[in-house]
Amino acid sequence: MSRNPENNLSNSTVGRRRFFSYFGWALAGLASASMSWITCRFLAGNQTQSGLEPCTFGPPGDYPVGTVAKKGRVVLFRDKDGFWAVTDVCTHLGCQPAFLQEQNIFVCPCHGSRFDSEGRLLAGPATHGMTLAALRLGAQGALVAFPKEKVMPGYRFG
Amino acid sequence: MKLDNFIGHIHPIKVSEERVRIGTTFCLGGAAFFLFIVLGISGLLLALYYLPTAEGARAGIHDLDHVIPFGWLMRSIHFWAGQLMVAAMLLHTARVVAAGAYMPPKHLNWLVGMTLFILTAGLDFSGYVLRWDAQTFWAAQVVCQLLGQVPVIGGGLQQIFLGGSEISEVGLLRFYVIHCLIGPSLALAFIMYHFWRVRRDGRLGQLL
Repeated sequence: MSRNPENNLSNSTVGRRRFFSYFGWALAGLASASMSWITCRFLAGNQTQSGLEPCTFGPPGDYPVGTVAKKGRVVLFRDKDGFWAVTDVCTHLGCQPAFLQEQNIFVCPCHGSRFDSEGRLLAGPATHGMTLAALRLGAQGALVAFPKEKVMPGYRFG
Repeated sequence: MKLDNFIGHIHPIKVSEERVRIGTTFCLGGAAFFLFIVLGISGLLLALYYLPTAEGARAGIHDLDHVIPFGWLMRSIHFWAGQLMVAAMLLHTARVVAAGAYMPPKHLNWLVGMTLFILTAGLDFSGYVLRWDAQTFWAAQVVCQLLGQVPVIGGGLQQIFLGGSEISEVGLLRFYVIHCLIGPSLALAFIMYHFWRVRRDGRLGQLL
C-alpha cells in the first residue's frame, strides 16, 4: 500500500482509486441485494391462493336436501331452497374449521371460533363470518364452487 | 486429517507472493471451486421444486421454467455454472499437464485431481439425466448399455446404478441421489483434501 501515492493525500477528497473502490463495493452490494431478493421470490413460489381454487363437485342430483359435502376448503350444503357453499377458512387466523353435523356448526380447531352452517359468526375470537362461494354449473353439469367469488349471506343456487 | 489442520493449511500465517501470483495458475482450480459453490447453492434451491419421478420431473421443470418466479434464472445459473465448471476443470487439468505439476512431489494430488475429474463428469451427466425428457432418457439408456459392456461386473454395475437392467423411474431416483447427495459430498471431501495437499506439497512444482 505504501506505493499508493493517494495515502499521502488528505482524506477530505475522494480520489480516483477510492472512488472506484466505493463504486465496486456499491456494485457488489447491489448484486447481493438483487440476488437475495430473487432468491426470496424463488423460495416464496406462487402458491399463495392454492387452497382457494375452484372446487368441482358432482351433478346437483347427487346431493339430496340435507346433504353436506366437502371438497378442498369448500363445504357444500343443500336445503329445500337450494345449494350454498361455505369457504372453510376461519376469519380469525385462517385455520380450517370442522363442520359438526350433529350440532350443525363449524368449530375452528385453532382457537374455538364457531360459525353456523351458513358461515355466520356464533362465537369468537373471529370477528366476522366465513364467506360463501359462488356456485355455477361446470362443463359436465357438475356443481363448481368458486371461493374467490364471494356472494351475499342467504345466497342459494338452483 | 484433522479439520483444524486443514484450516491451518488453507490459511497459513505466511504465503509467499510468488505462490499466489495469478500468472502461475490463472486460478482455474479456484474458479472451478467457486462454480462448485454456486452449483451447490442453486442446486439446493432447485431441489425444492423438483421431484425425482417421471411425472414430477416433467412438472417440476415446466414449473421452474414457466411458473415459479425466477425459476428460469435459477435453472440457467445452475446449467451455465455446470458447463463453466467442466470447462474450468478441463483448463485447470491442461494447465497442470503443461506445467508438469503432476510430477513428484505432487503425484498424489494429481491422482486426487483425476478423481475429481471423474466425479465432475459424473455429476454433469447425472444432472443432465434429471431433466428426464426424450433426449436425456435415451442418453441414460446408452450409458446403461455401456455399463453392461464392462467385462464380468457389467451386469452388477447396471443393477447398482439403475436398479435394474433397463432405465426406469428407479434409475431416475438413483441418479437423483447420486447427483444431489453422494456426488457433491464425495467431491467436497476430495476438494478439501486436494486444497490441503496443494499447501502441503509446497512450491516445488506449480501451484493450484
